[in-house]
Amino acid sequence: MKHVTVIRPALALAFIAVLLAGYIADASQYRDPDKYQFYPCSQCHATMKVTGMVKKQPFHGIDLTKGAHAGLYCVNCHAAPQVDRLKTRNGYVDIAIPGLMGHEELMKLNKVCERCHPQTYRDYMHLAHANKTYTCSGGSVEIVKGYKGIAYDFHVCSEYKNLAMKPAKACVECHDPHVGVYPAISIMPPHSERPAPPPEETIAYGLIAAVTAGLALLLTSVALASHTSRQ
Amino acid sequence: MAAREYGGGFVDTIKYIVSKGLLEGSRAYYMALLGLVLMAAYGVYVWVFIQHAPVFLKSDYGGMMLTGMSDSVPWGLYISFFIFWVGVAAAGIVFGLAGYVFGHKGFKKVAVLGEVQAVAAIVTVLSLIMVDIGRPLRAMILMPQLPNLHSMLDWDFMVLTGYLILNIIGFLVTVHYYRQDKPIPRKFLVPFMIIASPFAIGIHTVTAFISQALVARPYWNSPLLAPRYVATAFASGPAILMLVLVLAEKYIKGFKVDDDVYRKTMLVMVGALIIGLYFTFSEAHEVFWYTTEPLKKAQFEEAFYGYHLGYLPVMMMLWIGLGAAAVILALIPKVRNTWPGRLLIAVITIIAVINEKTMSILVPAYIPDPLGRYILYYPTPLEYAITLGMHAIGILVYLVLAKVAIEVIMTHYFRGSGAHH
Amino acid sequence: MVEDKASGAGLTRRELLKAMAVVGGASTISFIAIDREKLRAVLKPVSLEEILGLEAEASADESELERKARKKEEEIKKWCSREAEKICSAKGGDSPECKEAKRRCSMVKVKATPAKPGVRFAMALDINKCIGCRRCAYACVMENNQDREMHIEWIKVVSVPREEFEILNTKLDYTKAPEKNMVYVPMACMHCEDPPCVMVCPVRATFKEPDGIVVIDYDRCIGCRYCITACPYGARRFNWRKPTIPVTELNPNMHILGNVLRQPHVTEKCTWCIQRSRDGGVPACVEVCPVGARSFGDLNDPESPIRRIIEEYGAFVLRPEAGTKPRFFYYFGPARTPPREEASGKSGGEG
Repeated sequence: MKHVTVIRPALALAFIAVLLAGYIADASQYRDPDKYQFYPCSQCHATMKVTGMVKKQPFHGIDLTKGAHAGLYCVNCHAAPQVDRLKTRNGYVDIAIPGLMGHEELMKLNKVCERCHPQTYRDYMHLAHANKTYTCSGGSVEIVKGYKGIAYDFHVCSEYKNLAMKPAKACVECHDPHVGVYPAISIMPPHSERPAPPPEETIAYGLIAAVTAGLALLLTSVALASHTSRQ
Repeated sequence: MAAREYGGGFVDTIKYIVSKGLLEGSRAYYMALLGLVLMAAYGVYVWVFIQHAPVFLKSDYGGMMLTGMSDSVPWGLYISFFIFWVGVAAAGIVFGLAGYVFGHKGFKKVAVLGEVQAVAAIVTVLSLIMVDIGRPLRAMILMPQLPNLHSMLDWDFMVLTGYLILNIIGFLVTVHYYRQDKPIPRKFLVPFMIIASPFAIGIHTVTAFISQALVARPYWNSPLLAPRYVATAFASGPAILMLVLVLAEKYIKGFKVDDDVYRKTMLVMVGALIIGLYFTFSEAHEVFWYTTEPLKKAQFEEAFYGYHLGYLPVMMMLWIGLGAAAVILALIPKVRNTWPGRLLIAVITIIAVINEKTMSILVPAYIPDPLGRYILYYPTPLEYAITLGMHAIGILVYLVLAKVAIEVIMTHYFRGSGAHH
Repeated sequence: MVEDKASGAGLTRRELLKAMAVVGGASTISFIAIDREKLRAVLKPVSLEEILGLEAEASADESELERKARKKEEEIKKWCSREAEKICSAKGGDSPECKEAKRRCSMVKVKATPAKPGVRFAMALDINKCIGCRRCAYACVMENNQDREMHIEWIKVVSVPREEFEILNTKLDYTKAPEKNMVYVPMACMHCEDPPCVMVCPVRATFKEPDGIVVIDYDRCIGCRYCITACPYGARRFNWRKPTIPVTELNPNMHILGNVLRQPHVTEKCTWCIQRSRDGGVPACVEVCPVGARSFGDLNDPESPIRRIIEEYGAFVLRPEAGTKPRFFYYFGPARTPPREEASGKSGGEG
């Protein structure tokens, strides 16, 4: 079937993980969900009194010795010992684990990133960084596989008027905060040009016939002309 | 004799042209007409029912898809020959200038043949544009009603139709007076030449301006393009006229052309060829000696070396080689003063200019294209068929009008020598 | 032959030259004296229907463009339902294709949204971020109802060596990207301030809208392909035959000057998704870009992404020597995708 429609749920399948957005359309470009565990944080951490001055946490599958955030410790972002509270520039923001973390919830975490990446955050707020999308009231978005296998966002709106441009994703929907690099993305097949003209034998044969007939007639006339003029 | 059969009005002139051009003639003449009509009809058929089928017949098949043109090379064989025939068209008024303005008797005799050549060439040109335009009917409705004065194509359309109308008028008036054995009145000639002379230069100048100012195509983007067009136009136009004169003198009893006409035409032709070759040399120097503009250099290299498109350097070399050969032959009195020599020089010049003015002036501007892609262009059989058909239309017009023109020249200048054939 | 100033019946050379000088002078003066703007205001484009007197139904509160859009909508709906019927009879009335086709047909909407006053759209692209994946090019095909069989792709992504940004040394058919020594430059219509294509169009079928989007009136285009020749960015495409679009993939959100169905033998090109952007949305290429390299906004709005980019990073345009003043800006953003290996330890991952 040429045409596969996959519904993107409104709440972005937030059940799976706090840091995982549910983009199943092009799953290869997003992260592996198994690494992340989602227990109620406070159940363990209430008694652990962690300082957050570690770089590796094998239990959670986190290794801060590599990746873009290699310079950091847990405490740089997490308000230890309370791990489900994150630091922002001038306060805290709580992550609700376990629980539903929809796109709107995740957008609140952008402030955490702003602490260290103010420039990028300003770009983001100006819609100069990261993906943009639009919404229409009462509309939805379907991901459609189409031309050359592209996953295209098909907007279903009753009326395509008064649309609003906004960021498509929160920071953590693209960047894993514990790794910080963007995963490799597949590339699409090369461009194609206008296909070659189809075979046109009939035209070629017709052309040969017309040229031969025309030339024969012309030559006959020239021959006749010189013949008559000599007489 | 003819003057006695027909009345003195302009309607009678039309009657005269129709009867002399279409109703009288030898078997050979009708055979030639039939052959040309066949070719023209096939070309028009292929155009309407195959190339433009989606437009004219609203069908799903066909379309300009069947041509070799692409988004990278949007103009091809049609526009190439359009450029060539625009050049040829100018000769008409040049002969008129020599005859009527400078009072050269020999040229005055054959000036009407120049007008006929101009009419036929412009008819070919307009038919070639017609088949090249994607939606010709729309163009015919929209182009006159609101032209864009920034667009050179509109100016070109205007000068071409203007020039066509002028030459038709010139031809009709000449036939009208000559068939009654009267000279053309000065009252007509003065304003006619004043209006027509700028048009003769205008048609190739404006045609060159279509492409000259495009910053997207460095191959054309030089102020030398328009002079180059005019230079080689002044070689090909007189060459075709000389070819016709030489053949007419040979095959039509009583038709004489002054030797001075040949000498002067040869002078113009060779002069123009030398200037044209010099311009090619000048452009080659600019590009291959110093320039560092990459796209321009790449396009000229494609034209002169043909790394991807083999026929371009062949055409360039043919132009330079045959052009030089024509110049050298014309310098030898033994060759230039005999009729086979004149024929040879005329034919060589025409072939040289066809090589310079058609594909090799157009296609390199698209290869490589602005994105650096080499998308090649080879004309398809369909394009050859339509181009030939459109040429058949032009030759048909030429044959009919030239027959009438020679008839009236005979009547006016070689009275009593009788009809040809 | 000029030497031969003979006695003949012709007028003298002096007379001819004098008259020619007068004619030339008069035409030069009139050419210079014409006020182009005034002329344009007087000479309003006339449609074929007007000439033939078929314009009886035009109402006062409906603009010319809206009327055309309404007609086009009916036409497309008819065509679409015919095509849908074909699919339904071939695959059965309950097949998903049939349902999809019918749904799309019922959604078809052809708009004629006019430009908002004071807006000048612009786009910017971060070359450091672009990975050359070509998603923008193919999403554009879907969004703008381009012919699938002729492979009309408005956006072409070219790869250029990182050391010399010369658009001539491009490669379009790469299969592995991104590579370390290359940058990837998607190119489409630049929506120039002085578009050469608009200057050369003999029938004014292509023109610049007040918000800066260069559009084509598909009902006026005569298919002479002069604009393709004149475009220094290779942005224009020609419909070399009747376009074929599967109805199941039809984008029902259409604008009369944008992605409305094309006819055979007319030119088309990027319109910055006029059907989306005019109504406040974001072009499809900007939406689909997986690395967010593209930004789109109003150049006149000080808070817009474009102004932010120009002020923060500085931007450049392609072929500035062409003097067309493109409004498609390229810039080298703060971070690179993918990050350079040696820099990945410190700060490379920010992109």
